[in-house]
Amino acid sequence: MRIFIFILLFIFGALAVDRSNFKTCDQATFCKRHRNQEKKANYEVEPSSVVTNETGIEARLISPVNRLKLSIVLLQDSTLRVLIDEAGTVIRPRFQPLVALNGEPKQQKLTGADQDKDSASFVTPTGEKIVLTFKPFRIDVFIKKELIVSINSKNLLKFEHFREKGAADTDEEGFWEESFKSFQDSKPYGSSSVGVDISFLGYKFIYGIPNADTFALRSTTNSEPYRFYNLDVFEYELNNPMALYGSIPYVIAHNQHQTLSLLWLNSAETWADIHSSTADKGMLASIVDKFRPSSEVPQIDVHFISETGVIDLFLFLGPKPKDVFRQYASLTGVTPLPPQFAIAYHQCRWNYKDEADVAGVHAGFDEHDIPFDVIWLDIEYTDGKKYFTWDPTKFPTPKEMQNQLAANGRKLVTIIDPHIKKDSGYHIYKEAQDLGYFVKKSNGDDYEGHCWPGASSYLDYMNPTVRDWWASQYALDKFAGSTENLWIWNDMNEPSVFSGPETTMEKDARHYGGWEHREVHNIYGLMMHTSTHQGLLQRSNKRLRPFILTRSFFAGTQRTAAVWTGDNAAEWSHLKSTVPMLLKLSASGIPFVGADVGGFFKNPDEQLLVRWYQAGAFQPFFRAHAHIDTRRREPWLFSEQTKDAIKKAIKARYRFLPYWYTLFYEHEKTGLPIMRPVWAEFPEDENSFDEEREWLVGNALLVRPVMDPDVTQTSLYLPGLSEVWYEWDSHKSRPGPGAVYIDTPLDKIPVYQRGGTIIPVRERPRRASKLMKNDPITLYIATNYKDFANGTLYMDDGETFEYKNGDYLYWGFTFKKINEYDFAISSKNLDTNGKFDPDVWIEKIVIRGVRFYPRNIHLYYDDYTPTDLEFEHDREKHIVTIRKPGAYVSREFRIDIHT
Amino acid sequence: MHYFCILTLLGVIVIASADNKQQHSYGNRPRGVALLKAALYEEKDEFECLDGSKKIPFDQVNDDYCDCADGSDEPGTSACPNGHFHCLNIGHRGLDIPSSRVNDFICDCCDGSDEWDSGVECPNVCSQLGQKAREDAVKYRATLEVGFKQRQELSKQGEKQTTEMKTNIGDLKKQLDGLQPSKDEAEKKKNEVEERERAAKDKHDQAWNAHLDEKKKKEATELFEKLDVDKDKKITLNDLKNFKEFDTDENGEVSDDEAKDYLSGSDELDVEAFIDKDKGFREIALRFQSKPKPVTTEEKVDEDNIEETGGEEEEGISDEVVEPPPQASDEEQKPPYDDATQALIKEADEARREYQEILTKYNEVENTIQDSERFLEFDYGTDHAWAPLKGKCVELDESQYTYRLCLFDRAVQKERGGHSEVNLGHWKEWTGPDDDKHSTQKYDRGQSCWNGPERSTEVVIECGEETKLVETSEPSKCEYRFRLQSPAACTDPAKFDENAHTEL
Repeated sequence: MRIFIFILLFIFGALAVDRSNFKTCDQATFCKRHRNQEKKANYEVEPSSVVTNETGIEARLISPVNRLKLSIVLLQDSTLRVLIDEAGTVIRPRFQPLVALNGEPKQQKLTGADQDKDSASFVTPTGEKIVLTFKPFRIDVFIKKELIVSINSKNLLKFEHFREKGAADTDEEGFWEESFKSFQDSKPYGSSSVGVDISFLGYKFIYGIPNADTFALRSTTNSEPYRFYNLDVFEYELNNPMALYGSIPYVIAHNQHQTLSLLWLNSAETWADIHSSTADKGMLASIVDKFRPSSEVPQIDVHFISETGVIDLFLFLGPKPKDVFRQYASLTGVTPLPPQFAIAYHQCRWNYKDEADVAGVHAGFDEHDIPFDVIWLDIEYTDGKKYFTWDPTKFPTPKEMQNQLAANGRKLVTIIDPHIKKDSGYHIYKEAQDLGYFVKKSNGDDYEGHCWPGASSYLDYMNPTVRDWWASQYALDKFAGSTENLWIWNDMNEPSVFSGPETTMEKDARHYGGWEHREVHNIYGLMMHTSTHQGLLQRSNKRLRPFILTRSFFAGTQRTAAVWTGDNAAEWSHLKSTVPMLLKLSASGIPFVGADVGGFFKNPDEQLLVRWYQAGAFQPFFRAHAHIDTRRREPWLFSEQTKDAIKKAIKARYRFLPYWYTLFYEHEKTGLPIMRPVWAEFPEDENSFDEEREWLVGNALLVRPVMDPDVTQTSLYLPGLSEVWYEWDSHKSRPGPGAVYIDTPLDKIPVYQRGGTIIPVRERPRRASKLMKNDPITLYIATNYKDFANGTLYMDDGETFEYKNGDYLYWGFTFKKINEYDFAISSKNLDTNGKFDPDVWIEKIVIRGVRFYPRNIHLYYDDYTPTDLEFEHDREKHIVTIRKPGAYVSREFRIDIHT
Repeated sequence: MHYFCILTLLGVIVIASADNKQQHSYGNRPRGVALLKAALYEEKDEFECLDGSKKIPFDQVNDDYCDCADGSDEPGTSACPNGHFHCLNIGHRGLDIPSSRVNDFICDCCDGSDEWDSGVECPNVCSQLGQKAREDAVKYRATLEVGFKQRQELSKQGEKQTTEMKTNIGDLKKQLDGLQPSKDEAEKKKNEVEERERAAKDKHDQAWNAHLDEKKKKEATELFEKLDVDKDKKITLNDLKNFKEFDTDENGEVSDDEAKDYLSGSDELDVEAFIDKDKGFREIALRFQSKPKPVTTEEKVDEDNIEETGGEEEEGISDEVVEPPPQASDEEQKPPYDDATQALIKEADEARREYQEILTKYNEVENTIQDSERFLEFDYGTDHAWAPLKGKCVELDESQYTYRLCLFDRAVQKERGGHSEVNLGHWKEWTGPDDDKHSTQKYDRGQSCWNGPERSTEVVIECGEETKLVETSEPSKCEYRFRLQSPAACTDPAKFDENAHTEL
């Protein structure tokens, strides 16, 4: 009977991770020590050590057993850096993952400083005050005289210094060695963990920490802490704090008045406890009473714990969400404008079996008139899982295959993983082995673990020479069978080691520079895809913009790769979780993100597949993918109704491409995410703070896809006081804030345009985005209550770096009321450095929310020669459609509407 | 004009010019309109969208702006996402392409007419393609010719087979009808003899049971007398207290309760009651091991006995415990049947054998009828051409495996040079579209995949001169696709000629 039930579960049960394969905080002894501190370290600032310089304060922290150096540095754009490291001569230097940063952070001069016997303080140019209290050590940040952030107010600072073996106080559990399951971790340098608490006052909501949990982070008081340790988690589970493929130890606290965020820059295994309370019950009661008028102040405490490294935290002080996004992006970088194909639709499967299969899929999409830009090949295309090779029987003519795709404007992406098959006949392995380019075991031999090819070694991307060498492998003359239409997918780069502890590399493995794997683990993937990026840049002499997809990520990943949420499953719950998962990544500085459309594991039913396409069409990275054991899923293999609904969703993506492309450009300029939580645009709308079913694409589109089976109606929330929203298809207007119901038959995607915006689209979806480059633009103008709207359009050649040399256009469009009788639409070159002048014209302008009666409409290129424009006025729907204005997008024009 | 761009696509370098916008070879029709639709696009003041939804000035036809919801006003541009462009492809075959392929830098029409304003100059390759297509058509027609003849042959065979089968069924049914009386006769005779046989056997068995009853009574009476110590013709509690055998708890004393237990709860029993109370007698007999147990082969072992031997076991295995205890040697054997009964049994055996013989024959005929009927129930296509191919097996060697398809039976994958066979599915049904149902077959319920579904195979059928497998693939894990050629799929070349004619 028991066996029977077990079999039933096996067949019908939801997929579930085997949790016992992964550590709990108690099983990671350093985490346990920090989390349950019976005896606090009680650090104090040594008053005589305090030095205030032009940009901050330096001081020494002392405890009965330890001495640390502290520096508080003010950086440009309301950013504060707090660095704590061991003081004096140290046994061993500590690793800092500075590669995550986009260059050296720029310092900012203080505007005032003060010091007395108990504390030192300084003031920033934007008026924030930072106070360092000596005993006990604490750092407080005041904004507009209110205490907003407090560091070490719970006195949890703990910093295990490197010690000689046999030193006092080192007999604690797991200090010199540790075991998990059958794995031994020799810890030759002992435990060197660090941790401190940070409190955010006045906050009920905190976000960040990309993983598979809810968007608004949860209190971990009664659960495991959130964990940062890049792992290949087989069949990951939703709604829990477990570690996943990537780590961004970053949190964003948000309330109606102030948004701020914190980056914990550490690449070792890290845990974070989140505790939510009201301050009157908290430890800070006395301080709060002093500085906050109300005692009922909600408070969130975050306790970061890392296995080693330093305490290097960055506070981004906002004040608004957009400021925080910019501040974080200026520190860790932005995603440079991707090539246009990368934001179109991607067709992937493990595996398209051979060249005939690829050609068949390529032709199938055309036969069924469904656009796609990129077809992907998973691991089976290689010759025995040896990357940079092709299976000679299945893919004998890869260049011809790529050229065939390219003839229709399409690209190929193939997978390249960091595990290198142990096979002396394999040129990559042989060369890397001869040159000593692999990660080493603790005894100095080449590290070896099992992955797809069987016994494999792993390249040591910490070594700049290895990175250069790896980059050079992508050269067209080196990577046989590659062309400029081939782009790269870096998977399994946590790194995934099937035979290793927690499916990854042993922590005592050795990297370049003598660093232990434990010190650099979370940036292994970042170093790999950075190196791949370098290779793809070099391949075209820096002419073409690279496209790389990575599974593992860290802060800074956004500069060189897009990220997907890994191996999800064809379940409604996984479709739903794409929203919080992608919002977390987006809010944490990685804008180019997506989830496998359809779900990787298992077979989606037709309804789930359609709904997933509809969601994916409005998420930044739009790729269908499937496990090798699943049934084929090309859209035409389903019913006509399903195929048509999928086609419609994909075509919607192609119609909105001008808008998406503009948003990606604007992201590069501003650091703003492309997929935005509602609070990013409506920071004061408290109703949306825990919203995770809908999101905004840019500032103008609100999307709330159907993510439940068998629903004929869907409710959604339209945010914002005095806002008006237009349902995309029907033009029907609705005021915000409030909930609305909308009919959602199978082919319906609830999308609303925000009043006050102008969205450029292309109404002529073609086989691939490249083929649309000269197509005309249609402008959708959604008026607001002030009869105003504006929007932007960015265009360039879609693939090269020429836009850096002025070969682009960035224009703005405005609709406004001129006087009692007249309205005008005008265009303006927002960046006169842009010289791109394509043959692209405006074929149609749709104005929504029209409450006037136009008599005639004129187009002016200059003030003298008006052209009469035809238009239609639908009084019932309140829309005016201007027929064929014909104005070029790269020329200034004005359209007057006379009533 | 506004911007001249130099494109390098498909290796063709050309300079776009607005002049060619006016040039096309559609005569009086707007660009992109097929000759067949000429009347709909006759130049008038107004153009009516083909769906009748709207009227627009005629100069708005092909003005690169989509006015009609059905896309009909822009046959020559890419303006309407749901429109179509007709390539004339003179020298080859006319073709409708989606409007989204007009001026998209890719040559879709062999006459290059779709790229009239993209700057890509498409060479006119219609005559080459047309030539090739005509050659292919000739080849295909030749195949059709041969194939269709064979199909007619197959069809004839199939018709014959089915007709024969039908006639055969009639014959067999008659045969069955003929067998019926002798079958009934034999059955009747068998029943009659068996009735007599049963009666004789019953008589014998009753005598034997009476004997056993008598024996039991005698034994019980003997035991009664032994137990009735005070000889008052009753066994009382006091009587039993004389026998240590009743000291169940073995404390050296027979208590009232212990004694009562053996008297079925009574204080005393007379001889009739003692014999009647089966439990009392049996229990007591057991206690006196020296006495033979009054168990006969026809009796079931009672529950107490079961508990003693198998009380700890699961209920499920109790069947095995109900076997008679191994005391057969002690038991009196049932005497053999008398000669008259024996003779009757022999007679009955003969009647049974005769009946079985005729029944087997009858069933054989019946099964043949059923088989034939099942054969006839199969769908062998509109002309029965597939009927002769039922059960025919075709094989194809791929690199690692040999694939075998036995039509209307099953699909199999064999390791080359190995012995193991994997079933890729049993015949399920025709799965072609409604208008061409016999173009695809489905075989399913094959061997289950590890962590996956049961294997299945789709067989896509095309016309060929002989029935053979030409390609196999596994598009999804454990879902196979075979390409099969067969004359049974060849259509009438006359129809082909007709279509070819209308196309021109």
